Amino acid sequence: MTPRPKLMLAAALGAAGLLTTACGGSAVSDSSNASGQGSGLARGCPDNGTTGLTDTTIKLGLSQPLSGPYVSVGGQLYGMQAYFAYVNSQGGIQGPDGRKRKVELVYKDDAYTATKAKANVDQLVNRDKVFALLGQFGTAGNLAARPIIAQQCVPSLFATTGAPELANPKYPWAIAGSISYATEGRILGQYVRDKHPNATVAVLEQDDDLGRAYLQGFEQAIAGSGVKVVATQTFEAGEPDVKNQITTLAATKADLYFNVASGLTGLQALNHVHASGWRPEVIQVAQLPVTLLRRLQPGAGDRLITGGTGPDFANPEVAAGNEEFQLYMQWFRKTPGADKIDPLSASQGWFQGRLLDWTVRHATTMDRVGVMESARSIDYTGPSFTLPGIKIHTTPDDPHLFEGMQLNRFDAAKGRLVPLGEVIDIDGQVKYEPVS
Amino acid sequence: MNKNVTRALWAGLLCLLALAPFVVGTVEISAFQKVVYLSVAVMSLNVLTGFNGQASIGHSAFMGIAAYFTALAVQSHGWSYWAALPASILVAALVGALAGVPALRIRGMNLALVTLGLGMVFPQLPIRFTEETGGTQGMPVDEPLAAPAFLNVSDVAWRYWVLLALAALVFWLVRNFRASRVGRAVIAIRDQPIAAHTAGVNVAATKIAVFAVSAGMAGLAGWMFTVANQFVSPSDFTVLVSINLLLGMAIGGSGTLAGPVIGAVFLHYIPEAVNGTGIDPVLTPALYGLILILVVYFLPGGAAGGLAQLSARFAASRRSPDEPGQAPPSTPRLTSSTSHP
Repeated sequence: MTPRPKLMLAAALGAAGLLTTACGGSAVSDSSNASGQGSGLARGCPDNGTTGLTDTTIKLGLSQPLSGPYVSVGGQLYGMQAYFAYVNSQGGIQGPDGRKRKVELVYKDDAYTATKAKANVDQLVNRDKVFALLGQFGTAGNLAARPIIAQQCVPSLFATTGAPELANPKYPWAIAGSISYATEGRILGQYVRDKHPNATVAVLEQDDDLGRAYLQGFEQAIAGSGVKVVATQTFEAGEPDVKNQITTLAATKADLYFNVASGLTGLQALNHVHASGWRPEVIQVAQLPVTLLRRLQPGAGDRLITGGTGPDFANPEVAAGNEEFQLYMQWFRKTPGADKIDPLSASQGWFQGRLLDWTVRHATTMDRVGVMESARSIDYTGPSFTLPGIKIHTTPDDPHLFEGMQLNRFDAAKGRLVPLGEVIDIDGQVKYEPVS
Repeated sequence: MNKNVTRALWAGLLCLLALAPFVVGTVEISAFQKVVYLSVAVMSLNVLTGFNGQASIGHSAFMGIAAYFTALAVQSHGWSYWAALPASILVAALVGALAGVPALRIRGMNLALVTLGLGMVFPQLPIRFTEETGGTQGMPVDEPLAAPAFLNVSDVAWRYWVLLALAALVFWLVRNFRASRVGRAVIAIRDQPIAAHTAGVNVAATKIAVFAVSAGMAGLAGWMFTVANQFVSPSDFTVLVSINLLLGMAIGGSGTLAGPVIGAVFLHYIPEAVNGTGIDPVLTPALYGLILILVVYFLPGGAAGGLAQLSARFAASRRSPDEPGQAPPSTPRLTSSTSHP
């Protein structure tokens, strides 16, 4: 009798999987659905408030792309590591109990796939037993992992996404770290309403939730004013050419052109607008960084307005004059692997670390509920990469961290952003609304 | 005799897997769920490519169609998962049958290109219908496939058992199908289409039917995907997923039953292992490529084929004098997914 080895192997694999991974209670009697005691945030939470904490360490988790086509957007990890190296060198983050805890950061690659992000968060929370998540990356990944966060009551702090959905009050355990797309749209709309009260606007919109969130905010801001959207054209993300849409929009000869497009498509649209002979003032969403704007054809960026929350660190003078940025660069350069990463995109991670530090320090109790409540009542005025005048502020009813922007004019000749007027901050005015 | 051992081994494996939720935690069971639906997905491709010799780089689309169908039916239209099960399979199979029509005229690389188009277009569909599907940010399904209350087991374990049972059923059906008259016709079309035609096999009908069945199986994997993840997004059904399924099939061994299981284990656990070793995850695709080249070069039949060869040698060296005539275990001829004209 000859057993078939392939089957034996399969059996062995199964058995090995069973034996080697046996830990942390069996799945059949999983009690994570069981509701615990408590009120407010803690309602229905399991009794795990201090998971991931010891007297000397705090364990944090993160899932973000580290491979695949979107790997380049994942620089934040290095900024975060730089901050934690810095804070650990000072003994760690001080909690409300007076203890200093060094940060252990566990990170996993999701290649920007939502369900992989969900599996990673499942592992981080249920196997690695992290105390909280920091800078969880991507809208879809955050939404996919949300049930785990909610069920286990794990703070997911300063997630790297601007999706308005992160402010959904049904899910109080997650808070976004980027300005919401809808908020940005609203600020841009407010600028248009104030400066061009009777303008006509032609819109190019990326046909997805991102584009819609921008436009929704914009339309809210101009509602009731003399500003009129005269034409809207859409394009699919990844569409090779938007020339047809631009031709249609150019025919309107509108006063303003609202470019809700990012990356190379955004650039292409602006070049087409210029080539068409139409000379509107361009309102550009912040998804198109200065480094890309510099690649516009001559003239195409001449009348371009775009918003931002931070100083233009691409300008060496600005970078040299900012103490926090210098401190960041000092630690960033020491971070293994950082030499391949753009320091500007990674700086977000440093600030996420900085803000986490503040949040833990100002918690009322050193547990998950305490830290989450702290994250929902932030009034931060410490060192940041944010322009003065933009509040870093949350309340239990308003989890939007940033609701302000500085509008800038793009100086094409120098390849720089020049501040335009005062910071527009609409703190407290943004309410959660599903994108429709 | 040999057959009995094989059966006993499959049964043993199934028992072990079925008992797993009593031993391991939820994180591992979630991983097992993924391996189960990946096995079915790789098997669906295996039926098409391994048995019938038709290539497809569009299976992510069939999975995606069924996964989105299930998510929409359950989340937006209040269906139960059970009602969505046959419907989602049917929808995927119908699309598969349509996709199979060009296969009558074109073969090999050209067919692969047609299906590639399908795989590339699919992720744009949910984005196009953002109102219904949530667009790029994906669509959570709030309702879980809950365990019946009288069983008193966790939902995770229940979902896993459901998936495992369905996968076992599929594998059993494929096994029987392969040995059947139709199954032999399917394999004959792969190896000698003209001879098969001469022998009375309706090549056109069979090819389209196989495409539909394969797409329906991929649809089942899509249903399982939604059950397991309670979330769908365009990023989960990119053409990269199709390529990974092909990879899983090539590594596991096409044209076999055990191959898809090995392939699925590979697809899930290798990236995990890479994550654990501290190698830069950016290199994961490169590592995949290297493994694939080595497998194609040294084990053209994949892991399952290699093991079968080993087993044959082992049997030959141990052949006892009173059993002189014992043949090596019968293994189906193995074909690499790209070797067809």
